[in-house]
Amino acid sequence: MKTKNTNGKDLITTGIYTALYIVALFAASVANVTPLTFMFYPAVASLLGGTFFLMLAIKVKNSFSIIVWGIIVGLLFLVLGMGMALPFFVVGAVVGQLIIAKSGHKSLGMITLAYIITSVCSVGGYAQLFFTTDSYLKEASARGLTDDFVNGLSKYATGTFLAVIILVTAAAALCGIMAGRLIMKKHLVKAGVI
Amino acid sequence: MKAGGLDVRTKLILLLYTAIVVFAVPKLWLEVTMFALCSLLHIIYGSVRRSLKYLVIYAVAVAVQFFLLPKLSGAALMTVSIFAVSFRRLMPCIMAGRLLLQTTTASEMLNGLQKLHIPIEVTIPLAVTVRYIPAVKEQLQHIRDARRLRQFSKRGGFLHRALRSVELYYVPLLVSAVQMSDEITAAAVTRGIEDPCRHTSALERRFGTADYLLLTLLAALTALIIFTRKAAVA
Amino acid sequence: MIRIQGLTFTYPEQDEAVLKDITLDIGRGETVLLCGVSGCGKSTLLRTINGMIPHVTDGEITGVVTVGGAAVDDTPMYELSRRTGSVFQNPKSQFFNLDSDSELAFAMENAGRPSAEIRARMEQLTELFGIEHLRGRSIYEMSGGEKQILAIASACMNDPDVLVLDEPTANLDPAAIVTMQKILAVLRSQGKTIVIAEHRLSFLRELADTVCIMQSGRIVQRMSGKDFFAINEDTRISLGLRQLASRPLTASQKPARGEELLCAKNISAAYGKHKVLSGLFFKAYAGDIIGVTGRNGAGKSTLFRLICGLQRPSGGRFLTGGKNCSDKQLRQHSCIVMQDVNFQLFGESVIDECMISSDDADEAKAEKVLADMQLTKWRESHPMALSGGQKQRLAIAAGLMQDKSVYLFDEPTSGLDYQSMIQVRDRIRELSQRGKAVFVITHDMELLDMLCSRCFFVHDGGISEIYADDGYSRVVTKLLCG
Repeated sequence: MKTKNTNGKDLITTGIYTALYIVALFAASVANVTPLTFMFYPAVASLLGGTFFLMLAIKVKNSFSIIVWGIIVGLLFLVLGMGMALPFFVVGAVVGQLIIAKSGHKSLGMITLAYIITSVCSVGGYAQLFFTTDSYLKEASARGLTDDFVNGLSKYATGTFLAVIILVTAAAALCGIMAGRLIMKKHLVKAGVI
Repeated sequence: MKAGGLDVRTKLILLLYTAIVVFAVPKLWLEVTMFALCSLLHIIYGSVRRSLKYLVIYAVAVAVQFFLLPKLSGAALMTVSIFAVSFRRLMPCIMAGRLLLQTTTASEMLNGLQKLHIPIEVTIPLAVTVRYIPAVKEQLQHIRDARRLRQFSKRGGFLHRALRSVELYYVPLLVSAVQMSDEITAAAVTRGIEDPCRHTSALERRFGTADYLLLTLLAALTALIIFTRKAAVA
Repeated sequence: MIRIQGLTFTYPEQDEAVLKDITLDIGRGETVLLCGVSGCGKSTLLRTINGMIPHVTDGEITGVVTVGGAAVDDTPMYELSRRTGSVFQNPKSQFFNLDSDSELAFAMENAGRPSAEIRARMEQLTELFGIEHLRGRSIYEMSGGEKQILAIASACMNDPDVLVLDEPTANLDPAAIVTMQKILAVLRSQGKTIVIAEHRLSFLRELADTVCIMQSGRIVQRMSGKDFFAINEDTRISLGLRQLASRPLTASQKPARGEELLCAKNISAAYGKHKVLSGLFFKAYAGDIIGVTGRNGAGKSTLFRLICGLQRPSGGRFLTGGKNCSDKQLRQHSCIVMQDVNFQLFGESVIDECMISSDDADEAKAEKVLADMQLTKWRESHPMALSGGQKQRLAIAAGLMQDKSVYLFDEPTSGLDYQSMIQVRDRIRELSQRGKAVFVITHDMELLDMLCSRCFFVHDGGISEIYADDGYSRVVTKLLCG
């Protein structure tokens, strides 16, 4: 007789792959070095983290592991100061979980889709930083900032630029999962780990 | 850690409050107030040097916003503003986060979250994540060491080698993860982690004067915000 | 206390049963030692006692196991864990928490005990086991031995009636083993029932009431502790067991005097302001097998990092072939076989592992190296699919492919039974015969005895060099046990 209600093993496995994903996020932060590239941080992060998301989806077959993953990563952003990313992550994770749960954890295509959606949602969270700066500075423009700036910022914060970021992130997420799949097939299956 | 420390829940509330308020109400005075509050708490908890360092950075950033930005335009304006303004606004929240992490043990955190009725389906993975991240960093170090001792052939193009490079990190991490997952599960399960009863904590903290003080302060702040908004509209 | 009847267990996807029709009765307060070669089933048997089988590990099981009157498969895991404490062999993965106090409190917190009770028990156990120095510390800063002691203490917090230990001394130095011995004696005097599976047997001499020798899933012999520790050497070796008594070492290797491969002149190492090692002078010759031992935290790992060039010395210099050499050159000449070999194997297959190091696709050389390491049969296997010993051999093979001249082994025999230890010893001897210089960090006195002609004892920021001919055996044991 096994205790089915709280399965310690699944919870621990969720924690482990989330930890690996977070380390990938830290590794991706090299993208934050130059002003232009850091808008692409979500893309780099999705790329590096894809493998761990894939492993999580495959190894833990319950109906909430992805949501928990989303919550924990969101909490990380909260503690790092970007708290507004949290709701985006959670929403993305919930959607992702629903997709995966429906297809029963087996379909690679569905897992990929779920990951793309969560990654794109995270862009929303990250971009909040700039939207709010925009309104913030509008407030502050009475204190002597030129309209120049506010206009320039709006150009960045909306429209095509955002669309480009989203597309790049989605593509990166796709590559992330594919890389994960490759690693699985090339190494892990042979190593007897899957 | 001072004896009259804050309860975990208070620190969590502070963190959430900072995160929401600083971005929902984009006023400079509010941001500065939150920053000052968090710095003060850090100093009370004993990390004076660090706090002063952050204070200096913060002051410089604010100064830049007022004195330098109006003189710039275009790309320079964008760049500088991103550092001086956008990232600066993260600072109060980062400090609140630091406060939470540096002054709370994992066990206290778990217990606090439990008291807030957060289910174990979240708290256990969270605890494991926190516990496993240093282990991953250690593993990465081993991999780095091993690679430094290895010569790799120069065959294949640059891209091929770069990709191979990255691939090489993933495999040992994943293999270790599977093994460690089993072992940590064994350790946790044999210490009763699946026990359905309410988990207690060896360190019992109740809400004390410091907590009430801080919460009152935050409430007063909220009132002030609402008041000034109403005043601005009127 | 523990009744096992007709127990047979098979892991999923395996044909042969790991445990075959085991029947065993263990009385209250009895200390039972399970021993046998690797794979005999002792760990699996322990898991049926603490409930991991069937609650955590899958497999086909027949037969009954009862602990304290309760059937293991009918009782939920958390209830079992209140009565049975478990200690595993890997210090790194036994912990759920990041600091020692939290880990101690963990079991009782999970059981919902009031916090005053938890704190009282912590103090009581600290005094009983003498572990004041372990309190309030970060787990990542503790040595392997300290972690294992903490693990036992944590397992005892709930005051379990039964304690199950799976090779707890696998990674410990002799001083830590003495501490563990004392703790087990205390527990025994409290009337706890102890079941322990081990390879390193000598420390259990006074402790084991009953010894069960296992082979291929069956208990082939069962005798009293006294009788067991009196069996003669030949029987012991035929059973594949490690030494039963720590004897004074009689080194069987003569020091080598080939060409000088490495010379250290006044080397020191520091982490920031903290000086770990200083004033090191030594030489290593072709064919040398140098044991490196010392208490945990003394600086053995730092020494290794210096020798293979992973860390730059803060003072002094290294010379190879009489000329000063940089850490980069040291790295080119050195090969480390780590304790966890997983982190240094990068190929897609065994043959790939050898080939990725060579530019000129020297397949013939790779084949020869694989043959020498007896890995030809596994040519196409993935490195991660190999057994521990095979991975070690593969790491050596990679080193040979790169023509490395200095080999460093970090605890190559922890957790190995007699046969496997012999194999490691033979590998290292082979390297020595090829004219390589070999350093071996080890706590394993048996291995030191059989293998090394020189020993570096690391202590107090320096090393004392001890040679086989000057009675090194006694000196080493004395130094290690304090």
